[in-house]
Amino acid sequence: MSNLVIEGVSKNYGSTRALNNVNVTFEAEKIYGLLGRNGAGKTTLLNIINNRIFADMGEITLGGAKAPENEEVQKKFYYTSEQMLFPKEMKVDKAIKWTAEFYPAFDTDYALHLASLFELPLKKKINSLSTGYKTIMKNVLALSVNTPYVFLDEPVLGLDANHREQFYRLLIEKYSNNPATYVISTHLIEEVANIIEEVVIIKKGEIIKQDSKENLLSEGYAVSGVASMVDSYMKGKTVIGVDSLGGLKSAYILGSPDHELEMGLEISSLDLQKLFIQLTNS
Amino acid sequence: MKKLLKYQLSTSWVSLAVFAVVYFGIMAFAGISVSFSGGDSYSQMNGTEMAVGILCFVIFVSNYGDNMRLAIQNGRSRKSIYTAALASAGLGSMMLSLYAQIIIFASSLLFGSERISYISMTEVIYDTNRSMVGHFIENYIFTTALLLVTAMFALVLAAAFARAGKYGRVAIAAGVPIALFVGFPILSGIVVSKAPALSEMYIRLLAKVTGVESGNPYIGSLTMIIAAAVMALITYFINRRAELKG
Repeated sequence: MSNLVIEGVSKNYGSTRALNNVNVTFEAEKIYGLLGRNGAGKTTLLNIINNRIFADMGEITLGGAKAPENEEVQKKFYYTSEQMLFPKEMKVDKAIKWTAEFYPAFDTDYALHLASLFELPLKKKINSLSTGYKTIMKNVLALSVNTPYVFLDEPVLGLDANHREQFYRLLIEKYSNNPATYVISTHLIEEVANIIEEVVIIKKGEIIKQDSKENLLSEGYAVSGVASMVDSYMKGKTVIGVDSLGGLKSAYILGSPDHELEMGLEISSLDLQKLFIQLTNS
Repeated sequence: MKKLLKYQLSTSWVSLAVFAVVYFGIMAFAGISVSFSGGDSYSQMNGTEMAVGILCFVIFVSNYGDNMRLAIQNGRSRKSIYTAALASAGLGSMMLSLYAQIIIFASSLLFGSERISYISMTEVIYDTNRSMVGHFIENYIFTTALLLVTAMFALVLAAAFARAGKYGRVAIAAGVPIALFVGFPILSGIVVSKAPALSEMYIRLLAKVTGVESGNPYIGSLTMIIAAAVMALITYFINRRAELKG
């Protein structure tokens, strides 16, 4: 399957610039984390890729073919967003039936299996489902649709811890059995940190990082200890952030740690959430 | 496109079934009441086509947004949505027209008598007097054209509504009925009193293009089909860059 290439995409809402010259590539059969703060432009980007809205500038192509208004490309995508696009009066089983009609590779048996696993009431109207069950319904469809690209915007919204765990497990299982590109946009970075392979960080409508999770985390390290010792260690280094608690301090530093460390200082690897916070804080 | 058309038609059949039961019930009730009432009362039952037209308008105006959202969710382009909507309007008009003819025919057969007659729209407007088959064909084509233009008007409004922002939606919701039922009659009144020649010319033109002048419902049908085509073109331009609203 070809790569999905986004080049120079910009989008304005009135005087607000939602996306500014976004360039990003989603490669085949990888799991991406699309991370950004509220209003950073994640949903706008996903909406543009999935033909729900149009970019003011730029191009989106899959294997050279333009994506907007191109059904041959759009049929290879499946997008679950916070916005519910199924008719509110439609019942869950009908949503499954119609998705199967539109996507020939949709696995209805698997969808019904997942529905029973999550105890999703098939005969209920979508309108009457709780937020969590609406999310479950969307996830059941996304996991059963078997398209090469699946975009999940806030896929654990309203889910309890058990259902979140179950969803992540099923996603990995699905990915292992039937690899596809999954782009997960979420605020729960710690939870997806173990699932994602590639990270795309978007800030104020611009992509500020795109790399593999390993590369990104190996770019720096964290040093913790007594505040005065950490302060002296930090001198001359590229510090991307600092946390203080009482007399203790942690500093997040780009580069490699010194070979010889003063007693009382502790080195640890960066974690994705911390790195994200530091990169997007300003 | 086929899947979308299948979906669009599947969402309308319940409305049609409910309408059929209710309307047929009213026709039966009216027919039986007149038949059993004493005296020399005589009644004409008409307006079936208009009732079906209103049903057609409601179906198309209310389903467009839902259909568009479901289609986009399932990877369909606006071009497909538009094509499916046109096909659905064409097919729906033909089916609903047949449906209206069946209701009139069945009512006439079951409840018609010397004191009650079920008459079609072309009989009312054009006062035609043709054979049964000729009349059926004429009324079927005329009703189909009427329903097509109704469906297309509904699609223009629904597409504009789907594309418009908050204020645009208010303007459409309030502006269209005001323009049609307040603005137009006032304007007509002004034209009639201030420019009678213009008014007369307009009435003559209307009588000509509707076929009333020549007593030919086919001319009226053709005019409505042309109007439907113009509205289809407008819908295309509204629809092609329509974005989904949050």
